[in-house]
Amino acid sequence: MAVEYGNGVNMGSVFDIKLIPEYLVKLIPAIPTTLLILVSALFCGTIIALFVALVRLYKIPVLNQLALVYVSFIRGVPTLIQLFLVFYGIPSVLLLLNIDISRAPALIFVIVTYSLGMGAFLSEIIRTAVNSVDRGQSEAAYSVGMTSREAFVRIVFPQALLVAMPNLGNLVISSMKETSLAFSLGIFDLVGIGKVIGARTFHFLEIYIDLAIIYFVMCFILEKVFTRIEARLQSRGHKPITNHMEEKWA
Amino acid sequence: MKKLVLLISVILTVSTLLASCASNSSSTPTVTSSVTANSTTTTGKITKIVVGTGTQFPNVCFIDANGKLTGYDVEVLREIGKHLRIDVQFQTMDFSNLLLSLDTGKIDVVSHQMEKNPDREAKYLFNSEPYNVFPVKVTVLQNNTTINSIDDLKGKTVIVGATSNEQYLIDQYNAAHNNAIKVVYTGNGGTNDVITQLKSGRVDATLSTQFAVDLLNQAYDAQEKTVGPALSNSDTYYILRKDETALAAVLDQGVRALEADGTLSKLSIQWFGQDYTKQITK
Repeated sequence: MAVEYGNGVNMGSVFDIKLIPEYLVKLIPAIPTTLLILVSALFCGTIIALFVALVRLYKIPVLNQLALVYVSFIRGVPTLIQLFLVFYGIPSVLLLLNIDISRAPALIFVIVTYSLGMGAFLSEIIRTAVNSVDRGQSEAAYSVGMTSREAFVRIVFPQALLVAMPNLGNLVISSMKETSLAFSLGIFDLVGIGKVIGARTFHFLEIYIDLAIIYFVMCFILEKVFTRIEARLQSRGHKPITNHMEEKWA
Repeated sequence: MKKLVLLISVILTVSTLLASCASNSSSTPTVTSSVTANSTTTTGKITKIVVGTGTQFPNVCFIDANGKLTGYDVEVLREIGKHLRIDVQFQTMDFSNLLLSLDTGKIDVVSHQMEKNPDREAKYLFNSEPYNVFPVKVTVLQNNTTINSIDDLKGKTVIVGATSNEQYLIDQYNAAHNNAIKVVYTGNGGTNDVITQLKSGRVDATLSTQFAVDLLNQAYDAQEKTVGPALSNSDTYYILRKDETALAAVLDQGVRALEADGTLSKLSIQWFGQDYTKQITK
């Protein structure tokens, strides 16, 4: 049914189910861009989060208050607004210091925004997870002669990780979906490519169906991965003795 | 007590941040001028420009089936670049972010069928050679017989793009006629919003120009028609920052060259189906 108009414009605006697989194939090459944003944000966000969580856990003066402001700012401002603030605001501020980054690729600004977002939420996950481990656990560790570092790495951290896992999974999945806003800055991620095809063909509904399928499948896979990791951690955390015995008999 | 101290310190930090934000916005002119210092004008000969355009306007600026950015606005600038040996690069973004990106130095030129209006002229520089004509008219569904001019729109709902010239025209009319026309704005869907909202009857009219209406009717069965006199017989220009006069002169030179050798007419026929450049008023 696709009749070419001008330079590659498809004709017709009636819903056409055959276009769903056709556009699906065209959208798949955009998946790496979406994943790149997610993985970079997860990586940089983890670094930020570890720092912020330490500051908050040890209540380091001044830094602690700054961390509080940072976290509540990120929590309270919509991601789309954050994207614009970072994309247009940071270069303008840096320009006052004679640093010109306004022509840097938009993708960098997108990754910075999502890293900051990820960092804030992740720091809260880490902080609450560490706090959730009973103080008695550290005290017991000290009583058998562990240093405070050993107590953290061997006793507190594994238990905290178990607590953090479900929240971490949720955060990664919701961040994956939030990357769909990057299009507003002209990034050709999944939604960006979808809009581009839509503007040319006007088959928006078919494209949105494809996007729903792709995002759902990606999130479903992530969900399964995190359930797996969680189950692993749980079996190790709760039944250490049985596990050791199994290993011996195996 | 401890909590109170914490709370106060948080409030203080926030207010300091806000204060610094406020001082930033008041110093915008400095920002803009230092942007220009870094961009094309001071380098003497212009060798590279970054053009901001969109991807949502079929045959003007859009991405074709091969993933290539093309359309009338894009190809005209590519030809200008070829003629004058300038490296023309494109940055695509939402239409409503174009002027902000120009302000903040992300781009040097906006090319998106931009017409002059006093609000824009107060803030930006236009080049002097128009490269297309964009007579804006009231646009309704073909089966609509009640709306024949802008005066028939009183009490009706009109859809336009935010920050567009169409919005300016409606705002002007509303300012003079006690906000008689209800305005809604296109969302993320751009032109698609207009077509579906018109067809579904959520809005009564939009503002558009003949070539765009022809294209939408032919390609997407939009069933639109233009009615009444042109609300503005505007030629379209490039928009630049106020002090980029050298760049404006270069663009003028380019447009004149394309006009002289017939390239402009050729591109108009290729993308709009007929030679609209003859209607450019000057």
